[in-house]
Amino acid sequence: MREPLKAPFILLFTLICTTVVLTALNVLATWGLYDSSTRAFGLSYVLARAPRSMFEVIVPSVVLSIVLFGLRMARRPFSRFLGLAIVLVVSYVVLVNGMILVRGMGAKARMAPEATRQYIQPSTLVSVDAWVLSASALSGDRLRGVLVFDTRQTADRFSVFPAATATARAGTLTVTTVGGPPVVISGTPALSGTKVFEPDRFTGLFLRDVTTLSGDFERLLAASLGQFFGACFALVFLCTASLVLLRVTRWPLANIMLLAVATRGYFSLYHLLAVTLAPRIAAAVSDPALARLFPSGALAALAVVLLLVDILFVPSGHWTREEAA
Amino acid sequence: MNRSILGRITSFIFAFYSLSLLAFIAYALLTFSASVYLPSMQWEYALKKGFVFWMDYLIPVHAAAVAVGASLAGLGRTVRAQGAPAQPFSRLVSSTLVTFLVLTAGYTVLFEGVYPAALRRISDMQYQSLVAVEYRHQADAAEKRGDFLASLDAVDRYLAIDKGNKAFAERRLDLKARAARQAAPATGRTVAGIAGDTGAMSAQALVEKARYYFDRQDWYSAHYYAQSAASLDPRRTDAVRMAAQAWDKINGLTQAEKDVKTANLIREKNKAYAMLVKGDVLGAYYEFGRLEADNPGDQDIATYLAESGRKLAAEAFFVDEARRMETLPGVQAILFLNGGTQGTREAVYIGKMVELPAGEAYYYDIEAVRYGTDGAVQWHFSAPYGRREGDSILMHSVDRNDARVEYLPSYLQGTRPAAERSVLRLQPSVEELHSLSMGRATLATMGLAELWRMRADLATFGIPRQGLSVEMMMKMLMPFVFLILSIFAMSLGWAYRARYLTRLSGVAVLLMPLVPLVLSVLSLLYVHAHRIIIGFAVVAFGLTPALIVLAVLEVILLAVALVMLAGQSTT
Repeated sequence: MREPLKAPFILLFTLICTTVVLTALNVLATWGLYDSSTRAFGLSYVLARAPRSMFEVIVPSVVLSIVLFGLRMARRPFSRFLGLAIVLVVSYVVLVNGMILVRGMGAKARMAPEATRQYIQPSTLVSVDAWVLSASALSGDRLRGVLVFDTRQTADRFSVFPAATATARAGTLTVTTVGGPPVVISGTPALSGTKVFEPDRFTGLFLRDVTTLSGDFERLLAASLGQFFGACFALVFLCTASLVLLRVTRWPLANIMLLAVATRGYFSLYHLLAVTLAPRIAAAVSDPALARLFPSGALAALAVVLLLVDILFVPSGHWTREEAA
Repeated sequence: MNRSILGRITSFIFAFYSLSLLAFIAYALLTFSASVYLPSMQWEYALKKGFVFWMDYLIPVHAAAVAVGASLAGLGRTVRAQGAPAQPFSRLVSSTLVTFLVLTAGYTVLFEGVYPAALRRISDMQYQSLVAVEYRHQADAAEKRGDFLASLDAVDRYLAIDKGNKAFAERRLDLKARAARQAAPATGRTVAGIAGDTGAMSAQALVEKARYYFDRQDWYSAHYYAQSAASLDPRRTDAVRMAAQAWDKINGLTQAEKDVKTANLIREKNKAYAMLVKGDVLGAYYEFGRLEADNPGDQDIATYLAESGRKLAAEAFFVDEARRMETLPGVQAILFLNGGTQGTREAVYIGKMVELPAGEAYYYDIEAVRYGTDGAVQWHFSAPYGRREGDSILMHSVDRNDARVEYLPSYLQGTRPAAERSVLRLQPSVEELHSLSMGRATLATMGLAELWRMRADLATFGIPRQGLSVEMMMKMLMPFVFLILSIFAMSLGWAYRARYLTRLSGVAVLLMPLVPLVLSVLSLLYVHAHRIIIGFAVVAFGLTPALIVLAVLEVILLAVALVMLAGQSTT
């Protein structure tokens, strides 16, 4: 009987732990990828960067915490509706307030502006799409003694230019040679740290989906609090309602796998809805808020379906029935 | 009970390993691209690629097998008597932990030994297929323009790669006959396509050669080859007859004719010898070669031909050797900064490098540039072939028989002193060139020891050292990941074991593939989190502190995994 009393605190503790771990990883990766060539790593960097990192990981932290807490509930079951209410309220409060609070602090700690040095370091070969570049010296955005290797050519692949200017914007590096007819090389460079921090294909897709979801929530928060509250509720509601999957068969491990697949699927579903379908809806309807809220609305509808399945088809003691009999 | 858990887990491990390996081989077979690889490579590709996939996903497959095995360990067991003490879990899983350690050792051996070799072979197969297609085009083009010798040469090189291709084998026979007919009017050593050596020739070829010289009224050569044919096959009466006729002709020569012939030969020998003394080694080689073909028994010519060949090896190599090696496995697309003198830099690209056991190496599609730090190009050249000479590449190649065929570096900009023009000194060793190949996959094909040895030097060649250090540490990490995730999976499976199932239902069997699927995602995230921590430690503090961080992290994770396992209840 004490389990419902402990549950909110355990969930809160889980939320704090997951947020701290994911924030720490985000800070380390961000420094390594973007800031290591321009700023030293230290306490001041961590303090400046942590709020923004926390903001970026709070959505996956909440989702992960709900899943982890669901695993505990599967081993120590109590009233499913009470459990649902506890998870829903605690997660929702943390998500909404966390994002609002951290956003204010994180606004001051935006990432450092892109610098050429992030991509090009003297006497090092760096890939920019089909080209490989190397500069003898680098001063600000000016490069000297620039070697260009064109991988698409089958002969005469090397070109050398006395100088060039480089600009980096939104991940695209543009190098324009100086002296003689200008040659422009523009493309996505491999960051100096990309090889170090590069995720595998599947993790990359997962991180992409998480970024889409977090980015949309940030935009909703900036646009309208009402819409933001609605979107947060839809996500938390869906994750909470999905805990029914932990009771759907009498093999607990399979149930956990179903929940994990569903949770991973929600991120992809959201990406699909937000990137593919929402623009089409925005083109068809006059109210932009409708298109913005469409992905969250779809998640909420799915949550209602799951809740109905829980109420109608999955009795609470379903998976332990055989032993009880 | 102990045997029940271990037995259940090992049977699931065996089943999951086998099924996943078969599935990956089938997938590789289905996704085989005949436009990228030769059709004859299909099965080898499927087996190797399937194995590579299997190794890539062995950790989640293994974790899934352990989790499912542990989760179903209690299936169908007898219910413990009321009040009877529960067996400590640690006693139940001790033998399973030993099994995990053995499997981790096996995984390490496969990961460090077999996996890189399989990756290298797949990369080689892709390159060989590319080269074979090029040879096929060359053969087609040569045949179209009626150059059957060149076409035969290209077909031979194609067959060196695609040995079992019956269509090409038949085409070769056809081309050989046509090339022989085409070669008949040729001059000197190219007759019958073979140089002066009779050792490898058939009696028929020797007779043909004897007939050729007989027609040219070169009675000595005709007699020599006819005699050789008769010795090889005493039944060849035509050879015996031709030798006798040639001998008669020799005996019939007047003294004056003999004197003129001898004087001519001496003059030509002197001319060739003078070339050798003056340093025109290549000219001397061809001259002695021509004389040797016309005067096969002459001891002086044989001696100086060997001597000029020996000297030639120091300044050029035979292009047929390089072409023969081109079909062998090698490292591709090597790009690096090659140091340079004060105020200058060099960059080098090598399309392919093939190493031979004796320390020899051949290079293909070479391009290099030297430029000042102000961007002024001093020289820029490309060369089709190169051979290793100590710490340099020798880029002067010649045809063994045809003096007109010679490959030298082609200077696109600037030039160099004549003595240096065909030689490029390399800063990296042959071993280091392996890791300078473009693309991350190359690092995966290298063993840990190899990466460790070369780590220090590679930064000078334009490669970011940090990437290499992280790859190395990720390789060190994988056995720990294997072991720790095994223990976590055991805890997960046991904690969520099927207590209320008496037998495995159809639904459970259907859901089983979800386990490796989910654990794949989770294990990849787990590995990526490690990559972030290791990457940060390498970038911020360097390799040695990062190694300490890795060691501490793994000890902590192992302890957590063991504590979790020990905390499982058997009730």
